[in-house]
Amino acid sequence: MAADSASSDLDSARRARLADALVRTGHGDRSAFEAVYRATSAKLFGVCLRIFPDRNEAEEALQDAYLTIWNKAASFESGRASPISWLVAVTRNRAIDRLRARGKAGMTSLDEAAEIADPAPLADAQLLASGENHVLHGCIEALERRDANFIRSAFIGGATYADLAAREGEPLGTVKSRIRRALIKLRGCMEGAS
Amino acid sequence: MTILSEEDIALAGEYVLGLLDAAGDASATARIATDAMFAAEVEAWRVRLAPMLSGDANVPAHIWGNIQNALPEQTGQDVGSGKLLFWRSLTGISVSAAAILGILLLQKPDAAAPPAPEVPLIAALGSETGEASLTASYEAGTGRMIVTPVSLDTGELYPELWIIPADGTPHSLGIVASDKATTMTVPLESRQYMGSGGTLAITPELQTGGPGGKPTGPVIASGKITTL
Repeated sequence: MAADSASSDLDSARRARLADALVRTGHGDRSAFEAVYRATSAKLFGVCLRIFPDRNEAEEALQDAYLTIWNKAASFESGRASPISWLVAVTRNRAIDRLRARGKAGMTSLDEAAEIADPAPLADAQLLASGENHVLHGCIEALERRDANFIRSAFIGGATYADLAAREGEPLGTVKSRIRRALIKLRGCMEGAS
Repeated sequence: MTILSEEDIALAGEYVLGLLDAAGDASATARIATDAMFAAEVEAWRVRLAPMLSGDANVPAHIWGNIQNALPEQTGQDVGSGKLLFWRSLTGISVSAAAILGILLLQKPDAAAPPAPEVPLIAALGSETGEASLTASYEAGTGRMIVTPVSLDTGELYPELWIIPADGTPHSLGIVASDKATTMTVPLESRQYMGSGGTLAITPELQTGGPGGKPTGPVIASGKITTL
């Protein structure tokens, strides 16, 4: 506990600062918005690059995401969600909307998605993330290959149930119950590992 | 303390993965606003799945300038202006509420010149399987309610709408149409239940409604009433 306290204090201080800046952004404070941008743009650019491997498209998606964040910041409730997971969710959803608008969502099988070449990762952030990464990837690999693929196709490729059912030539209900079972299994695996 | 069912845990995961259709998504969004335990599970799924999106990358310097240029002109009255804050918060409301507001505006021919509107109560009714979903909006002042099916199929039977207050006793609000919006006036004796926190639910019943004013069919869609 004592050994960890310094770094966890730092984390919670950083988180509180970010939450505060996000709330002030919701009040129309542009300097707070810039602080949010400085603290999170590398991470959110990483999210965009996962969804749009093309750098130009990812840059456009990132700009779009921050404009959405500016517009939606007033709906951020600091008691309910951590600022970073809220920001990642807004960015991911906005990028997927763009993907869908271009008719590109859910079209490709994303077996290789996990292996997408890392876009110039920053070394220390990568190290920090690797622990959680390891658990999630281990638990996804423990699923049936097809279920793992469904989950990636949805989260990174924007596939909906309807897309997956059409792609697999299976009834919607079958695909739904497969994925729901896989989600329960995934959660059980991750809870067990932590 | 109650715990979340496996169905709800999976639903939270489906929501974060973006698998739900628009109606299912709207109903889950409405639930996040009203059900803290469900909201916590959604957050837990976001944290669980986040590593799939992780990997920081260096952002080109010109991006921030582009974003700044795209921001709306500064009006000088942004910060602290109560009215503006209200509208800003409206732009941030959930998809469901925005969609319902859209439906409301479409349905009201006199909405072109909006008077100081009373704040309507809304509900997004859905099911875990996403097969049935509806939206409802209610004006307490007039008792007028508009129930709009997004997808609703009760086969040979008819969808009966119920209001269920905190004590859990359903009160019938009558049969609604499954293929078009139903505008109704909530009976005076039922208006006391139509507050924020009550639940609206649909069960399939005979055309004459559940016998003795009680539901007999399973709940195929439900949602909490909330303030827009």
